[in-house]
Amino acid sequence: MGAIPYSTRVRPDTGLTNGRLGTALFLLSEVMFYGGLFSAYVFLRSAATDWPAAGAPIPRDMGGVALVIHLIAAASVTLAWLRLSRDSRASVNALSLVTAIMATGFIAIIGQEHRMLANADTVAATSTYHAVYFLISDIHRVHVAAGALLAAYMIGPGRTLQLRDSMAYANRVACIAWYWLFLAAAWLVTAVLFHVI
Amino acid sequence: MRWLRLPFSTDHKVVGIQYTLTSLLFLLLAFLLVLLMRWQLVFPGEPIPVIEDILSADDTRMPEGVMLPNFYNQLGAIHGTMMVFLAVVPLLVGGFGTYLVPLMLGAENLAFPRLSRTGYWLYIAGGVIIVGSFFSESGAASSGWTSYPPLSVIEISGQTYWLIGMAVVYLSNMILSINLIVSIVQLRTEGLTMMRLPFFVWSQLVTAFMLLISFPPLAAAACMQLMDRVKGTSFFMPSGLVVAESPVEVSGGGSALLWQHLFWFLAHPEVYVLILPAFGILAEIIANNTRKPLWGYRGMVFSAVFMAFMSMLVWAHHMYLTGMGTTMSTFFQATTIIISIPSVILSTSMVLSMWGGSIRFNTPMLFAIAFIPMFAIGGLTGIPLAFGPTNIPLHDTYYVIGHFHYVVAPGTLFAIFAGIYYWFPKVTGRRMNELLGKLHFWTTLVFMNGIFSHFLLQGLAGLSRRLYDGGETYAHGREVFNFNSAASWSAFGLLIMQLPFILNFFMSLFVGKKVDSNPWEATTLEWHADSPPAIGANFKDSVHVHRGPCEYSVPDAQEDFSPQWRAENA
Repeated sequence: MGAIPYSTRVRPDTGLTNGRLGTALFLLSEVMFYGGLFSAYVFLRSAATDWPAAGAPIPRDMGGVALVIHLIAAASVTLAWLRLSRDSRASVNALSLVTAIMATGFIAIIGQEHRMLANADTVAATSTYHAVYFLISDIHRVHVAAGALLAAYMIGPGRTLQLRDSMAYANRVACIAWYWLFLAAAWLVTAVLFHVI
Repeated sequence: MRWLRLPFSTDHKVVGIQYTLTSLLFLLLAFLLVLLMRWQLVFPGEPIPVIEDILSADDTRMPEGVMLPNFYNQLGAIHGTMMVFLAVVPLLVGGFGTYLVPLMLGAENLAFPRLSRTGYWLYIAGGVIIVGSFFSESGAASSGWTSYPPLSVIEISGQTYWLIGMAVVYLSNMILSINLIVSIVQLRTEGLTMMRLPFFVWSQLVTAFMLLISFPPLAAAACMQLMDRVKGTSFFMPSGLVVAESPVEVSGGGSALLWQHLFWFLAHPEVYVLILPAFGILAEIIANNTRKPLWGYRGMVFSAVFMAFMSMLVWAHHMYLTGMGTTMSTFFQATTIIISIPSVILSTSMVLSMWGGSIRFNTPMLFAIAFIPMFAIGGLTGIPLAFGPTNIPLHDTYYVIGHFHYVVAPGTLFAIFAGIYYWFPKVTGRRMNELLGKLHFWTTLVFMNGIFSHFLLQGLAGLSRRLYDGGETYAHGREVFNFNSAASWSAFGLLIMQLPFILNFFMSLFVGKKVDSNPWEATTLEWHADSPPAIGANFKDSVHVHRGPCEYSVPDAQEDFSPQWRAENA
């Protein structure tokens, strides 16, 4: 079987590689998935007489820290992608490491936040407000964990690919950066919905 | 040893055949489930003969062969789920799409072969979880294929399995859709511009986009319902809910309508996911068997795209009974009528394509021709359902069942049969038997109408579609109760008359007449490959496309077909 065309090389008339187009489509479906979750927030909130109806508030200070850490993680991997064209492998590795560490920190902070709420007798079943928040934040933690693994891939097994086929590696890094930018946007919306509005 | 490797093969043809066979199996299983229901509707409370002993082994479902109401509900829920999500969509997109699209593109495989394999295994896993829930202690899901809360949240049966299974099926569909879109955009061979794509490929492209966009909100809703069931949240549970005279212990504040919105945002586009690939199959078969180009190819393409766009804006016409305001219902009535325009353009193009043609009435063409009036009945009976005032009295009746099944059963299933008879020679290198094929067609046509026409009549008489005893004990059901009998015997007849198809299918694998690479004298690229194409190598050399997809009877050409791969009109 021959190699699949345009796996690493850009198809001239579309200007895309298969991986980048596939990632864009995956992110489109993710937008719709998060859209479903956010629409639940809007629907339930617009019908609620009290919002939140019961339970402890979601701590704003921890939410702020989590947001900053998340944005740093996304910015680092995006910088790594941009640095790739300059062929500075050391800084790419360092930036990817920052992303992986920040992602782990984000997961830990949200976990701690959930524990604090549980100690205040506030769980997902307490109110629809908390149900939406717990659901979105848990689903997002899974996404961030996947993002951390992808960042770790860039430092570890990805390096072998970089030596063998730098274009394929660059494509994968671009796809990982797009994914992280999407995650950052999704969490920014979440933070605004629960801490600002 | 080669057989052992097949479950792990990443060749699109192997995966496509596996999708086809698996979904045909689910199709048969879903049909057998509904036959049990049909028996109960005709002979409520009477044991089912022949298989009575097997079914009465479990006292919670069919003690002494008599169906219990909850088991009836389980059969209904799983029948609908299997037909839509495990049979027809995987057959049309996973089977036909995965097998044919790369061949029609002049490509060697899909863009992501390993993902293609993964998607198939996820589909199997989702199917096993959903169907396997029948064997769980509490039985399968029993709140309908729509899984409306609060019933679906408070029921004790296998709704949790249903939700997990659907989430896995969603992942499979997402992978499949991405793979098809990327392949179509990126892997077109030299000279194959977008407007030279066969309409079948366009239909797959648009369908994949619909699946990709409309399925995720249902996946989100499934997560919420799972939380309601497992964690005790109240996404869909309103305050003050009382069940069996006892208040339900939840925090409340949720809305059952939220589920309906998220569910129908998927499930209405899903109807077009069921129909559009069927039109794609029809387009190839009708052009080939009329020896004429498709009438209005560009119009069909734009109609398909417009239909997909509009399909995202009509979901709430399933919800007129929820008491939505007049502004909202006016919007959805308008969009519902607007979406009929591309549907009519597509079916009219098919009819006009036949006008003046030299028609070959072979088995695939018979199924393709019959699709059009069957789909038209399905579509036209949908018009009263598009408007609130007529929808409200009809909504809970058999009329809705009749309307929907006319679209999907004699509609989409006819296209599927047409496609199987048409591409069987490409996949196997042998042709199916025409006599058995025609016997299959005519009897299927009669029995399908024998089933679904009675539903429309029962519905117009006001018979509720949610009655476990078929309406026997309800005054308004008595006058049309006997129609249950005609519909059920037609369903049993339909089962028997699938035997010629099954026999023909397997017999032709071994003794069917051998064919060359292009037995139908067709024009699209899959007919340039060997029959069957070799595993791992679709084409012997690189393919260049010189013309559009259905150039039949070109003036001054020596033959009445001008294949896309041939340089001159020789």
